[in-house]
Amino acid sequence: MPAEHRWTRQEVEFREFVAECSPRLLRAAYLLLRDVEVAQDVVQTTLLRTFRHWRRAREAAEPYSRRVLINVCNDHWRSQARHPETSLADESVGIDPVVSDPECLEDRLTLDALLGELPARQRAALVLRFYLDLSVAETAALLDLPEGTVKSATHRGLARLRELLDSQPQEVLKKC
Amino acid sequence: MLTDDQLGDALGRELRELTDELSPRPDLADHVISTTRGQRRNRLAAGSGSLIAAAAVAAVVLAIGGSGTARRGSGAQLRLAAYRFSMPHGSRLAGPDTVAATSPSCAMGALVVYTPGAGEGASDADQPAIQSAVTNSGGCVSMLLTDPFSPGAANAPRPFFYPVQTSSVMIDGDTGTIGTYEVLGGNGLEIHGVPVTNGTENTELFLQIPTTGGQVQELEIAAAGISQTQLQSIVAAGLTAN
Repeated sequence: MPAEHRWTRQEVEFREFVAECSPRLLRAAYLLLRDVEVAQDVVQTTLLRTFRHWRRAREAAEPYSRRVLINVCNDHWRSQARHPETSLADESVGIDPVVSDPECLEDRLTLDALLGELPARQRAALVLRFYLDLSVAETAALLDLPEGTVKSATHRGLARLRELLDSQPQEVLKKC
Repeated sequence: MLTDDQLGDALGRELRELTDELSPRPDLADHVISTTRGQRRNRLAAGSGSLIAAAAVAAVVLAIGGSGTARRGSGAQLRLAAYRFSMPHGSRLAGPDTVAATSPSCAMGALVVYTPGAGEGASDADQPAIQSAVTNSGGCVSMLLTDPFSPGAANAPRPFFYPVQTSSVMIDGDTGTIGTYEVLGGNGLEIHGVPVTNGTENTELFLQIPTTGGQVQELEIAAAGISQTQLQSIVAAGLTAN
């Protein structure tokens, strides 16, 4: 963007929105997709679509962009299902966190890895409910699922996560 | 043992801690804005003549009903100046109201135009005349032909559309763009009786036809229920057969 470029009001609004919300979108995308590079691409696509509809989106930009993000993630999952040979599962780029407390970091990486073992729907339910702090109703609306399905996916996801945690040789989630 | 709520809370807390350092690419917003601006420029370049005043298309013959223009055993013909475009079998000519009732997205694609200076107060009088046909299967084609204009002129008209996915086409030696476009920026307007709804997507073909003095006329076509390939064939036949 040239230095002398004059921003329109919409562009100023959009830049402020991106500065505030894009980190949350990116982190949620990573937790859903398990690959930092793919998550970066997905967030870029999400923001392109959001900006194209900015006049409509600006009234509730973050919920709007979350909805777009889920749609783009769904597109990604469908594409992987159609073309499994292009799946990046074996070469996915993981997170590279700052090590402030090695013991806690180990716990968190373990938890992140266990989350990745859950089926996509259960993982999505857990990420939206507990990472993004969305209600059951909001999660159901985003995932286009009945609320009952979200509740059961959440319950099953947590139950499976509990099993996986219990099977770890060392106690997780108790040290931090 | 942790309850579900406690486990969920702990999960959320630890995932937030874990991903706290994960940051979007630098200049993400600027990249998105410049990309969108580029798409808009491409669209404007392709469609820069779509929308000049109605007098420009005085030569358009609008034949409602199709009785005198449809070929036996074929579909209707749309006439724009010297061009005649044969519509698919079973189609019939239709006025804007019929098109709007049959396929609102198609109607919007061809009927919603924007004349510079008129702003959001654009009225039907600012819009070029439209030729439309509907098909038995619920599809439609709407066409307009602009007045001659100079590409890149300061008064280049601006349409309501954003490109979603487009590609370049060459039809009978003329260059154009075909793809999916989305109506944007027209909410609240009513053109030819069709209320404008932002976000409506439809297929559009824009073709620039050179005239005299370095000017061009632009043929703008919106279609629904017809493949892009079929649409290109219709246009090619109409441009070459007359």
